Amino acid sequence: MTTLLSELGTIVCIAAYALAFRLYGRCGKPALLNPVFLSVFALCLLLLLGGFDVQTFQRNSELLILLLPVCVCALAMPIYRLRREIVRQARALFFSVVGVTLFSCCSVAIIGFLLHNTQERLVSALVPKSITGPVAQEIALAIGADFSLGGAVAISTGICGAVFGTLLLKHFAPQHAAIGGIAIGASSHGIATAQLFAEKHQVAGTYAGLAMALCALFGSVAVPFIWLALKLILW
Amino acid sequence: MQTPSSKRLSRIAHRTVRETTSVLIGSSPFVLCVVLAKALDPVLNLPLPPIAIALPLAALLLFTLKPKLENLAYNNPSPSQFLPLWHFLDQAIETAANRLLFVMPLCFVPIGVGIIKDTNILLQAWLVLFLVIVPHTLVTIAATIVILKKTTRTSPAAPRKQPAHPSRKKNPANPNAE
Repeated sequence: MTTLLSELGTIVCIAAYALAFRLYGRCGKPALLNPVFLSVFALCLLLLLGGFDVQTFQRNSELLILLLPVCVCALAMPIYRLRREIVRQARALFFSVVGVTLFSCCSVAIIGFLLHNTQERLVSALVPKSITGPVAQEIALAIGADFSLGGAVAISTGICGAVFGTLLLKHFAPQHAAIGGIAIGASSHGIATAQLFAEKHQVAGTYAGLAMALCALFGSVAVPFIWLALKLILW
Repeated sequence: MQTPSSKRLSRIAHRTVRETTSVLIGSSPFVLCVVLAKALDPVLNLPLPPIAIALPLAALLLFTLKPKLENLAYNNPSPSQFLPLWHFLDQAIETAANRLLFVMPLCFVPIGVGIIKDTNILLQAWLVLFLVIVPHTLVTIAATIVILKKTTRTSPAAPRKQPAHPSRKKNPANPNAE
C-alpha cells in the first residue's frame, strides 16, 4: 500500500487537487481553503503520517513537474493580448520589480539577523524568497545557502501569496487589477500567479506573470550583490 | 436508430475528441518553446521562466508582423485558402493556453509536497520562517499595491468629455429656451 501510493504520485496529486478545488468552490472560496494550500497540506500530512517515501512520490509525479514549464510558456498568450496596456505600465512594472526585490532582500536579512544572527546560512536561504522556486534555489546555491531550504522558503512564500493574494487584491485594489497583479507576482511569484488565473483574474494574472519573470531576471543578477553588501554591513 | 441518450453520448464524445485534439495541437508550440528554451539555457545562462515566456511572445509578435511584412514585400496578402487553417490554429493555441493556465496551480502540488524534505530545519527555525513568510509577504504585497496606487496612474484613461451638441447648447440670453 505504501509503495502503491508513492508510485501513483501524479494520480494522487490530481485527485487531491480536484477534491480541494471542489471543496473550495462549495465553501464560498475562503482564503484558508485555497486548493493549492489544502492539497499540499493534506498530501504532506498523508506522506508524513503514513511513512511514505517522498522522493519516490515526487519522482512519480514528474509528469506534472514537466508540464509546469509548458504552463509558464502559456503565460505569453495573455501578455501578448494585453501588450499595449503593458507598454503603458512599463514604468510601474520596472520600479515595482526593482523596489520589491530590494525591499524583500534587505528586510528579510534584517529580520533574520535580529532573530537568528548566528545562523548566516539560514538567513541567506531566506534572501531570495520573492523569486520563483528554481531561480531561488540557484541563487541560494550561489550565495552559499542551503539549496533545498531556499526552494522550500520560495515555495512557502508562493503558497502564502496564493492563499492571501486574492483577498488582498479584493481589499486593496478592487479597481486596479494591474497594480494588484504586479504586487502579487513580484512578491509571491508562480504559485500566486497560477492561482490568479485559476480564479479568472485574467488581467491581474497577466501582470503577475510578467512581474514574476522580470523579478527572476533582475533577482538572478542583483541578489548575490545585495547579499554581499548586506553581509558586509550586518555580520 | 439512435436513442436520445446515445445521441447525447456521441455528441459529448465528439466534443471531447475535438477539444482534446485542439488542446494537443494548440499546446505543441508551447512544448516546442520549452524544448528550445532548455536548449538555449547553457548558451544564454539566464533563468528559465523569462526565456520560457519571451520565446512564445516573440513568436506571437512575429506572427502579428507577418501580414504587414508580406504586404510590404509582395504587395499582396496571404492566400485566402490558408485562412481557415490559420483560424483553426489561432483558436487551438488560444484554447490550449487557457486550459494550461487553468491547470497551472496543479503543477505546483508535487513541488509543494517537497517541503517535507526540510521538516527538521523548518521546525528548528519556525519563528523566523513564519515571520518572514506570512506577515512579511502580506506587508510586501499590501505596501506595493498602496505605493503603486499613489504614484502611478494605472487605471484606464478616463473617456474624453464629448463636446456638447450645438443644438443642445443653451442660449445664454434665454437659458430656459428649448
